[in-house]
Amino acid sequence: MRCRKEKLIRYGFTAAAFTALVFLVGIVAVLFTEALPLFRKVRVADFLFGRVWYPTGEPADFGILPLIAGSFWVTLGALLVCVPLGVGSALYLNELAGPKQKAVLKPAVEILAGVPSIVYGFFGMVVIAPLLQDLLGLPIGLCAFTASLILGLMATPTVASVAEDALGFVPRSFREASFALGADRWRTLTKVVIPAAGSGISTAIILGMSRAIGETMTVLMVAGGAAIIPASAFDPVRPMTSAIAAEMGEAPVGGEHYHALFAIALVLFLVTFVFNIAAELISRRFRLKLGHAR
Amino acid sequence: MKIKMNGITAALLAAVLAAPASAGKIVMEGSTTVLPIAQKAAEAYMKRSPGAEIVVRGGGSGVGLASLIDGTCGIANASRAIKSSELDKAAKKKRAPKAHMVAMDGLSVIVHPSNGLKGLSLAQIRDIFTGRISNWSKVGGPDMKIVAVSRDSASGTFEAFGELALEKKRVRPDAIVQASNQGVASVVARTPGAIGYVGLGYLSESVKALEVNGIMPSRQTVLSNKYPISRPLFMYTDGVPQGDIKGFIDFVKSAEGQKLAEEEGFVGLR
Amino acid sequence: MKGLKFVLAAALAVFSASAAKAGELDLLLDKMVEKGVLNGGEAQEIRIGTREEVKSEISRGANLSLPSWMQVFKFKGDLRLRYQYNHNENKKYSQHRSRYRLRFGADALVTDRFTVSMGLGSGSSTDSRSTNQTMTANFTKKSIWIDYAFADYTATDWLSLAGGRMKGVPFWSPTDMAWDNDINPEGAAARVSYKPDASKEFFLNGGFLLLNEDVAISTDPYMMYGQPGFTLVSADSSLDMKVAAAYYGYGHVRHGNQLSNRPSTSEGYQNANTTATAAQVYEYGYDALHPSLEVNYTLPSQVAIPYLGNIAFVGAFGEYIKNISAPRGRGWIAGVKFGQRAVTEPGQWQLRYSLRRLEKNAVLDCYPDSDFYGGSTGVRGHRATLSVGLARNVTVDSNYFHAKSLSSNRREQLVQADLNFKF
Repeated sequence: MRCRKEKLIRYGFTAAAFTALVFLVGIVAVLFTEALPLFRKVRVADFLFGRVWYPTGEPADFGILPLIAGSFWVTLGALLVCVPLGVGSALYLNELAGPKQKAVLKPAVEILAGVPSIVYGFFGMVVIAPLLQDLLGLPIGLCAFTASLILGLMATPTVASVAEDALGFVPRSFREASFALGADRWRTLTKVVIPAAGSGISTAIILGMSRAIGETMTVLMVAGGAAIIPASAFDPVRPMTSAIAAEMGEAPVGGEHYHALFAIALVLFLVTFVFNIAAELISRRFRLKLGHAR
Repeated sequence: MKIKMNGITAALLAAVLAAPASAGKIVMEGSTTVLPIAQKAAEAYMKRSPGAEIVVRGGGSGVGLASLIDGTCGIANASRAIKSSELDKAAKKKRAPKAHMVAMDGLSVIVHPSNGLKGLSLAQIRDIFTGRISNWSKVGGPDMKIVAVSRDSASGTFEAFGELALEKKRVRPDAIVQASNQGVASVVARTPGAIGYVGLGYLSESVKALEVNGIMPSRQTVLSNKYPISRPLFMYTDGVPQGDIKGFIDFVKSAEGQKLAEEEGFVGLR
Repeated sequence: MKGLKFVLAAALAVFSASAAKAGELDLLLDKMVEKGVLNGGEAQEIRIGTREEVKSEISRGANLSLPSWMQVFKFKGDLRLRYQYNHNENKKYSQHRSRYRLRFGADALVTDRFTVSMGLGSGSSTDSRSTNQTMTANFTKKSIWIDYAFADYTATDWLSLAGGRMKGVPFWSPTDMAWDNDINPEGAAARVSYKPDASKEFFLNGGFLLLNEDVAISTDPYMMYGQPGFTLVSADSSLDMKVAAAYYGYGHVRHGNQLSNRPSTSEGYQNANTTATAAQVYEYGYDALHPSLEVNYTLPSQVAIPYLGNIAFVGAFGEYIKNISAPRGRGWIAGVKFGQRAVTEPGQWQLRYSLRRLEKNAVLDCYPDSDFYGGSTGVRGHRATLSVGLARNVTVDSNYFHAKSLSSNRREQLVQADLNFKF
């Protein structure tokens, strides 16, 4: 009786764990089967490097270079915001904050991580964009710069928490040894702790980048939606995610446009997949380096 | 023998019962522009006559008319008139598509209230939205960059504007894209150098409507066919409508139905 | 108000007949709106509704006038008036003849996939190779024959089957060296056509033709054939090439009775197929391989020739036939054509010239072109044809044949002048 019950529970949990794998395999399979039919009609090079994205034109143009450029610019801008803010917050919280400040700031960062992205997008569209438009005299506030700013803010908590964990993993002995040799706090921080936590901080950055590139609602509302290769940070852009979200609703199922959107999703998936694998490899290396097995 | 009789009886019963159940079903297919009117009207109609069942699908005017000709739908929604090639196909299949105009679709070109221009010619609007003119000074305004605001490519409004104002040319790639009429209106209301297009029902105090070729968009100018960026919206039936289809079409053209059309931003006929 | 609207609608129905009156309709409606008789919505409804009614009327008028039988049948035919001059060294007198040919046929659409085609034709006799009727015998009435009657089934878009008395040989050949144009064989045929894209086609013809049904014997002669081939068209459709290779497999022909429609020796022609002297049966079989090729090229710009006009098109064709079961069984033809690709408009012309040699056992002598030495085998010579368009569907064709028998070296010169009307 007990044996059967235990076996049942065991199978139940195994199944639960395997569903994740099943879903992953399912998603990958669907992405491939729905995206590949596009390449019967459009050459892969024309798709990846074509400069015009106009899927409803006659004839339709399926060049996603502007979309890739949009994603790239927005992610880069987001990194420029989230890396200093995130790593800086992590450093502060880990090294410099007293218990009272920690008690306030740590939960604040964590709550920031929990804010839904649509709220960020709404906030960006209604408050930040007009503000920047007036402040900087831009023709319009919905541009790559605004999107980068908001995305950077969104990615900061991710970067901050992972970087903080990384800094936390640096053994006390490193710090004590450095102090023992006569280095001051700043020297210890910059020359000992940060390099030791280097891999962890890189993982944090890569995860932040992953988050930024995969973000949909915010860029849909804030980035402007123009499928061009931006000439300046203040041009509107259309990252890959917002292209899919905006156009999926009414692309006729089974048509070229439909397959093209799946192809973009495939590109996006492959990019984040590569980022995640890189992050995993680096983090593994970093843990081994610091003596934590596996 | 008994089993056989039961089977036959069951089949007969099913046929008898199924008939009234499907008798009230109306299938509507076609234009995504007319879709909101069709859906709202269908909901309201189904509330009034509980026996009726109306199914509304999109797919485009061409798809809807082709279905009507094939006999797979009862009403075809169309944001354009039927083509003569489609009429010929219908004649070959012994169908007689009859047009019922349900609303007018007018698009207004709007700018920020601080914009000093009174109006533009259709050619100027076309040049602005296709990218040939990028500065307000070229059309009589101040020296400021033109920020064009457009709709996403799946939108019926986008398609209508492309056909009626742009002669099917492509919208400039650097136009800001918004997902709804309301979105376009709010962006234009906040951006001094912006120009956009919205359905007539979305005009408000926060934006300024421009004259097109000297004609101001309004119910009167759209209904008298004077305003250039306007088009009729149709529901086509096979011959003179009967029964439930007639009831529905009459409802759409009644004051209540037209009010629903106006709520969706179109110009009603009452 | 509703009554008034009906009156208005009736009045407007009078106006609606002419699209040119649409401007006046607009004025009328505007005036009515101004005076408050109609509101804007009603005026627009009437305006647009009228326009749609006019369109429907026009379309209905254009389409419903066809009675249903017209939607099922398609009729076609042609009439040829011919003057012919013949000088054959086997006969003492030259011959002048006036002939005509009438062919009339109908295709009936039985269902989406089945078509029945039938045709009637004139003819002086049951000769399978000629539908010509000579103008003779003091205006006596002339006969009409059943020229063809067959059913066609389109199984899929790459396979079609036909059976019955078929119009023309069911395989391709660019010239009539081996098969006269008028032969309508009886039997069953299948055609497979595979078009991977617009520039290529691979086809395969195959079938079974019944040559004779003799109640006295059980071994009726028949022919089976298979012809694979392909067509290539260049991207701008200016150059096309068709290549095919046919194999003919006869059954019960060797040592079988002679078939009908052999050339007439009384007209000065010869029966050159080898027959066993005693029993008057064919000595050899006639299984043969028959490759053929045709190339057409529309010139990029017309070449003007003084006094003759423009050459816009050149083409070349060739065939080779070899009887694999008999000696003296080879034949070939080669030729060129230039002028226009097709003669359809007045003033267009095409000139065709070919050279041929057909040994005595290359084909059964009941099949080759009956104008070339009466359709005999064992001949060689030239043929030139000039077609000129007089009007749409009216052409003038003139033919010149110069044929020489391989065995007796006797010559025949044949000149034909035709006036063709297609309908």
